[in-house]
Amino acid sequence: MLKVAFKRILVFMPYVAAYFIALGLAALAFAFFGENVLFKDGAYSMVKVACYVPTDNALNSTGFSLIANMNSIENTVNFVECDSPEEVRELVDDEEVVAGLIIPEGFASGIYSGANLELEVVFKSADTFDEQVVKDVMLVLANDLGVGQACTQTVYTFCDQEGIEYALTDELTSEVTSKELGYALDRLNIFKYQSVDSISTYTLTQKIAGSLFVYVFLLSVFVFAYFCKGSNPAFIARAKLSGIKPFVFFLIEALSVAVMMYIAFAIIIIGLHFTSIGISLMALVRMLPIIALLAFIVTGVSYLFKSPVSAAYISFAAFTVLMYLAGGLLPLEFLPRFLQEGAVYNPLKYVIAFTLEAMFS
Amino acid sequence: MEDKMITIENVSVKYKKTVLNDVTIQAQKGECIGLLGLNGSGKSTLLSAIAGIKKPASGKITTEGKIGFVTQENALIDELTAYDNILMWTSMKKEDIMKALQGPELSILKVSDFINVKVRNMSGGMKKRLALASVIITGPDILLMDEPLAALDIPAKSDILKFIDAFKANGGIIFIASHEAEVFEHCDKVYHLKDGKIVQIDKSRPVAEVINA
Repeated sequence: MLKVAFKRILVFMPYVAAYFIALGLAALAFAFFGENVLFKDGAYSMVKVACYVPTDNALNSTGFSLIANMNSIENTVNFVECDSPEEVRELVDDEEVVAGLIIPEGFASGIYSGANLELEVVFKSADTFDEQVVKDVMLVLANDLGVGQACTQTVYTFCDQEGIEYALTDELTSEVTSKELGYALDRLNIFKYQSVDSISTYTLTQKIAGSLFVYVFLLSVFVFAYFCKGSNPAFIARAKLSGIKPFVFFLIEALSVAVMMYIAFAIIIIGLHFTSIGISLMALVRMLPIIALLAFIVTGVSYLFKSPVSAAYISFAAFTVLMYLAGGLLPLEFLPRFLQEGAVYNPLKYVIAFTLEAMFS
Repeated sequence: MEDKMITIENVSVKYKKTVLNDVTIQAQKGECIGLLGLNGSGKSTLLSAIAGIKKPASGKITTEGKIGFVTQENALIDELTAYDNILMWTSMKKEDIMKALQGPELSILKVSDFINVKVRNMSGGMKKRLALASVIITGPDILLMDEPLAALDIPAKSDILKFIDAFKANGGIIFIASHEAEVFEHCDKVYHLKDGKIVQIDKSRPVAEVINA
């Protein structure tokens, strides 16, 4: 039977390849151009933070640009620049943004004068993971700017005491602050992004590509339902009379499906390795458990329904809804808040997260 | 009990309603039993119960020997050849399979003529011959056939009927569920299933008359 199972894989593979090429290409096109479709002006995230940066000192905007252009921030937060602190508070109140950052007038010059002006960070509700992570980022930034402020004051005091020119220390101060911010954000990467919401660390293209991989694999019920015979009464009878236990029959077919999925996946990954999407060839190894899991799900679904057509259509409806609810087809931020909160109970969310980890980490 | 290879005693099978009610049949070596009845009368259920696939709610089924079941829907894989489909259910070597197909019983089915043809390219008759051959090659003593002549052309019907005679002649027991009158000419006993009950009938009676009675 194993010999025949191997022959079946070879004979069935062209159908599987045709399916993956047809859907895979469409999915990849969406993955590459999805950012342009979903977000305006090259923004990478729907999590918005309002900010007021006063123009009284060039250091304000320089420092802010430094923060806003950091990879972790750029891929997580969409900054909305406001003309006044009141506008920031209004946007937070109206829940148009998840948080607000207000740099007070005289903040930069206060560093030199010793006036410890405080940054204002305004929060409203934050229900989703992304929003909570943004809140954490904001707190770290505020703390870090405070530390930077104190450090700079210490340096200038030291310069005054020792008669050193301020110009020499400006470069040093800027470097120290930059390093500190980087350090703080790295810590956040380690302790927050990785453990609380690892999805936040990936670019939107990567997120879409990873999600669509999972989706295309799940929808492969369309082809594999014709391959799997475990729901066919004639095969069940035949297997039973041949002394083959139903579980063994299922196992052989699920493994055959996994092999076919893996071959299709390997071809795609090797192709994508040479594009700018950033897939590592190590994904060929790391994706093995995911493909095995998806193969068992697909085979199981094929076994549940007597007709391959029913299996295909019902699984299409079910998997599509589950993928939307897991934030797989559209970012969760596009969904109503109660659905965003429910995503934590959706197993596909974790399958997608693991896939992203396997493909892009 | 000697020579009796199947004993069905007071068997009842239920799904949502009772499909078979207190059915009793005995079959001996070399005997062919015909099961006649309308769709849903319980013919296929009785065959499934004999095969051990459907568990009776009550009663007892005793079988001596290996069972082969040719279901109405065939257990063939479209993408594979006739040979691969046979190989799927047996660990025999290719030479042994080819030798068996040339044997006195299986040669009637002429499967060797299309052994390398993929199932998807076969006619209904070829599929039925192959489905039967792939069961027979495993050496059953008891053969259960569900609608073996349905939608077949005359040569295919003729070959399958010849095969039934040969299988009987070699001491095998056959249970056939069918609507086709010509099958019952090859049966030793014919039973009519109606409303879950089973009654033995005179096999010479026209099928239409029995069913409409």
